[in-house]
Amino acid sequence: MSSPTMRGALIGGVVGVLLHLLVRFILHNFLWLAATVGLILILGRCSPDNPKLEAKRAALSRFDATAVTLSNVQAEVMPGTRHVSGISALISNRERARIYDVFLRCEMRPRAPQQASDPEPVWDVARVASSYHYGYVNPGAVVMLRLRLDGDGYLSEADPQRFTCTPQYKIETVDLLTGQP
Amino acid sequence: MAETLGMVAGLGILIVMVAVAMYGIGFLVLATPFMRWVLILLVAFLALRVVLLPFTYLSIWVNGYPEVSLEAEVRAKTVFVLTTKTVPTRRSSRFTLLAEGTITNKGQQFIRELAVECRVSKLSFGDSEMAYQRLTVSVMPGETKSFSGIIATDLIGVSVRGDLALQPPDQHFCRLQQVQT
Repeated sequence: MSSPTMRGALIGGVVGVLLHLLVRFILHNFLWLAATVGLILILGRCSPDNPKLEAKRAALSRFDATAVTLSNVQAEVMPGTRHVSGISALISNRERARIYDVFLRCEMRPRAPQQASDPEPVWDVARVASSYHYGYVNPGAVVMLRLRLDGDGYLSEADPQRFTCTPQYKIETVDLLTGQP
Repeated sequence: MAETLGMVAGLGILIVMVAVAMYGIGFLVLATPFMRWVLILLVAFLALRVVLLPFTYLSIWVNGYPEVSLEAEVRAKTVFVLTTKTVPTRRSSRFTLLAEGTITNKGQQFIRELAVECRVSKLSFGDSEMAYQRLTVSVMPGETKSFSGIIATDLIGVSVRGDLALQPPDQHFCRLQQVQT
């Protein structure tokens, strides 16, 4: 018998014995186990929460997303081409916590045909994500973002004037506990 | 032949010993009332907690709740200063991210480990990769300790036009992700 087969048989045997013992234990003590599970469920459902802990958790989730705003969104066209390669915008953070891993999720629309012979665009709206901003945006700060756009095929046909973006970010939640970064 | 027989015999004895030990322990634990007593005690304890639930609602124990410190709370009470740099990894075409800094523990709990999280640019089109590392520190309440360590050694690097080889990442951002008490 080869070594892996022997090892497999041994492991299988040990697992089989353990399963046998477990099943036997469950069957022999089924009522007591059911009572334990039932009581744990009752306690979980009916126990009042620790008020101090709840207050801390509430503080950690108290972040007003509308306080982070974006303005002056401008698509940047690669010189000598019609390809939109980047996006710039001002991001303002009026909340109490720093934000990081900021990027923009944008919707773009195609250029209108310039001449009658130009073909109609085959798409209406496309979505694209920008690169990340490396750093924090501190509370009260207004930061100029200059981010690259992912190499999406639609970027060569997009109208730079018709980009709408929303900021995406993560929150440095510890600042919500201290109130300052 | 004799050697094979000896090995088979040894293996057989081993299997028998394992089986006897497992069944023996299993028999003692499962076939005696010991485990049932443990279960009954557990059920009695849980039942008592359920019976006392209304008293908990009457706020008798509200001030007796344990003080639970969230990880974010401990982190909020630290002052973290971090410096990072990227260098080429030896005998590899990858890059290494090094970190050093200080951590001041202004809380009441002993900090034994910290985790640093970094976002590092890679290749092109604004792509990025994440790097995490846990660093062992021993910071008593009120203490300031220095630390240094390697965050990652296999960073890909960025592609630069006109250069075949990948270059060191041009942007990265690191933050204190977690502290372990």
